[in-house]
Amino acid sequence: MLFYSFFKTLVGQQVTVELKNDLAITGLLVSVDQFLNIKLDNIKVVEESRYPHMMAVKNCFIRGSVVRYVQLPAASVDTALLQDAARRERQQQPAGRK
Amino acid sequence: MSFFGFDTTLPGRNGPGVRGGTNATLSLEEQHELDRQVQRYALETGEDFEIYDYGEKYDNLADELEETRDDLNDETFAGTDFDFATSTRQMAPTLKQEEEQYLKQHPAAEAPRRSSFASLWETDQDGFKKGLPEPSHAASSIWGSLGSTSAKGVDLGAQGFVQDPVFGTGTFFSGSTAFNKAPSSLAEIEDQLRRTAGVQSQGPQQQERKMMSLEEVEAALMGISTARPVMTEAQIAEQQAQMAKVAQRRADREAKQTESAKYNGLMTQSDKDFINRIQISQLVTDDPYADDFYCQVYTAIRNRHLQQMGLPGTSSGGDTNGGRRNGRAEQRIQQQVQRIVSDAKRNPKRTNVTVQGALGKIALNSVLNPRQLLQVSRRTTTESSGSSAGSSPKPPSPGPISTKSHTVLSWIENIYTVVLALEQKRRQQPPPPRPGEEQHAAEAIREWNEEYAVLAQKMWRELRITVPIGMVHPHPFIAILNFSKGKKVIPRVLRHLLPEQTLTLLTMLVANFESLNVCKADNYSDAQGIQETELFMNTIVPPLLGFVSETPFRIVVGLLALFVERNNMVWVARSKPGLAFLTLFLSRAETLKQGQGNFMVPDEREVAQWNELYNRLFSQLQSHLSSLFIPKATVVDDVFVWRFLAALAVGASVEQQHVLVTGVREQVLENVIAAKSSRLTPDKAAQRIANVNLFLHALGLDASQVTVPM
Repeated sequence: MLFYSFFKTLVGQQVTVELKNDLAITGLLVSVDQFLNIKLDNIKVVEESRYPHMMAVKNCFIRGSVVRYVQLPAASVDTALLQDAARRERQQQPAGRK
Repeated sequence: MSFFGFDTTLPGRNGPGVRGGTNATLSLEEQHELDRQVQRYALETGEDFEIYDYGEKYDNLADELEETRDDLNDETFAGTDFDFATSTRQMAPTLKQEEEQYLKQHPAAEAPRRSSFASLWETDQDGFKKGLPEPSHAASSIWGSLGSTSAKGVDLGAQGFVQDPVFGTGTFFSGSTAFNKAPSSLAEIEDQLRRTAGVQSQGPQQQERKMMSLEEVEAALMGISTARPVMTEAQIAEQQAQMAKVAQRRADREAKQTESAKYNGLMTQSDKDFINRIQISQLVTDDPYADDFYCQVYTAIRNRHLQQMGLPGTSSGGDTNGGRRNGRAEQRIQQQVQRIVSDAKRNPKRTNVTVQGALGKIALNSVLNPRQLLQVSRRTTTESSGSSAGSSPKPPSPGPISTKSHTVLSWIENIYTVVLALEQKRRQQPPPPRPGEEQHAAEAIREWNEEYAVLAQKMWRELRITVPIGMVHPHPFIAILNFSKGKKVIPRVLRHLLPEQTLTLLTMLVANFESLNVCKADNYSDAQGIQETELFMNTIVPPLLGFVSETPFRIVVGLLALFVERNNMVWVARSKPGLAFLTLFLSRAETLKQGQGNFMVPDEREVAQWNELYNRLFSQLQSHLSSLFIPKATVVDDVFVWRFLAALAVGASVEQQHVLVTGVREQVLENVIAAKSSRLTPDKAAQRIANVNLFLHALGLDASQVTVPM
């Protein structure tokens, strides 16, 4: 839930999503859901020459499970708040789960 | 037009059987009505749709399912012992034979019910067959056997088919006498059929659609069995052709219907609600603020920033604004899912449910209780064997206190936990009492105050400030401050402290200043040291500066006395934080001595005390004045030194001023020369002059008066 909450704040920002098949897509984050599925708009593949078939694609929906990394704009991440949120999340977990 | 949609007037006769309202094409409303009746019928005949619809009237029967003792399931169900489909396929011929036999022996057997059940699927019989090959084969054998027995019935009919095992007794035809008199027309037969079918079915509201199929079968049978004595071969052929035409037309119509409304009624409204609730229960929890903490607070902070800049706040990304707008809808959803959530909470260990007869398992995973993918065995060796106080977050007890890093880090985390709880409490502060509710509001405020005080007290204990000095080195509180995490929490801690507590904190900090890691000379050589120092200057100094600027003279004197007494001044003054604190005390004391603000001018004794203290400090520092300047430091860093020198100069006597000027003469000249030379950009030069002037102005001088020896 923390990550969902976090990605919600990045909606409207430019992000680069690296997929597990080495495809890296840069685009405007349109939406994200609790499975961290990602919708991107105005996309551009990072290595366009390697993936010419992606040139015609303007927007995409990425299933959350195929994402390896998401490169974030550092300016729009509040790390202190993120730490607090992580602490809160930890507190909410049942004591048995570590 | 007749019921079946073809002309039933026999050759040479005028059809009397034109019936109103029995057109072959049913209107849309009738279709819906039929669908509803089909469902009702299915419910009555044991096709229990109720189990799919436990949204409102779920009786928690599933809770009584035995979930334990299924450890051996995997062994039990290993292999193909339970491959029922295969064995069914093997058994199919036998089943068919048995079925035929049974039908012969028990003429009134299941046929009507089975046929009516099958008629539910009649629009999609192919799909039905594909999906369930064996059962449908068995079912089709009913039809096959019916066909064959009807042929037999026809044969027997010559001998008098009232006693026919198939048609003799009244399942299909309650009044078998109907067949004794030769029917005058098909329409009449239909009429009869309708009556008899109505009798044998569960009431007049019996759905017409199912009856149609029933009657079709019957009519087909009748067409063979009863028409023979009356009709000629040609007529039969004609009839069959017409029936084929009807079937064709009917199939066309249904194809069109399925095309126009493909997945109509696949799910009932309650099905949809049920699925929706499951999905929403993944998202909505009993405390949306806690679960969406980052997003909510981030949006709130950003909106505040935007508003400060004069821009309207946005709610993109977060739903704080949207949440308020749709507050009622959200509340309703929350109430709806409350039960699901609480159900899941009641059984947190059980992550899946196996419903009897279901092929899959129902997972009860949620965002808070995700499916566990890794099984990590807990380490049995206790790390805290060496440190008794470390592992437990108990209040500091006398005895050996470890300041090992992991222990201190766990202290810091405990502080954060309490601080978060305190901040949460602050947000939940009861509103000011409204007129008429003072009593209630006062009660709420009192309760809130108590809880808040308990938390604040807990935080105070976690800070470990009250641990006596000298028991352990470094002091626990200083050990906390030596971590950047610990530094960061201080401004948030101070907000919840009482003034006395803040003073205690400041006293403890000043008394142990030497042991701070930001107080080391080599701090300025590596990036991490610089970072730590910056953090200290940004987090701890400003709030304490605010605190000191409101303290009376006596306390300032006490603090500085403690500072000078407990620490090596030369050592401390070479660090930026040390200088900052010295400057802070000196300037505050000077301000108070001059009687500014609302504070009383200190009395003689206090001033004498102060002067003594000042002289002591000065004598310690006077021979090291030039070493205060950090080698290779930037102009910005030098500001602190100049500011300190200025603070020192203000309270200095004439001789002390002279010592000061001689001590830093080199630095003054260096800066002035550098500023006047053309090597620096104008703003940098101005900065240097300003720095020097900080000090010189305190002495009543100015940089322009400095003569530069060329």
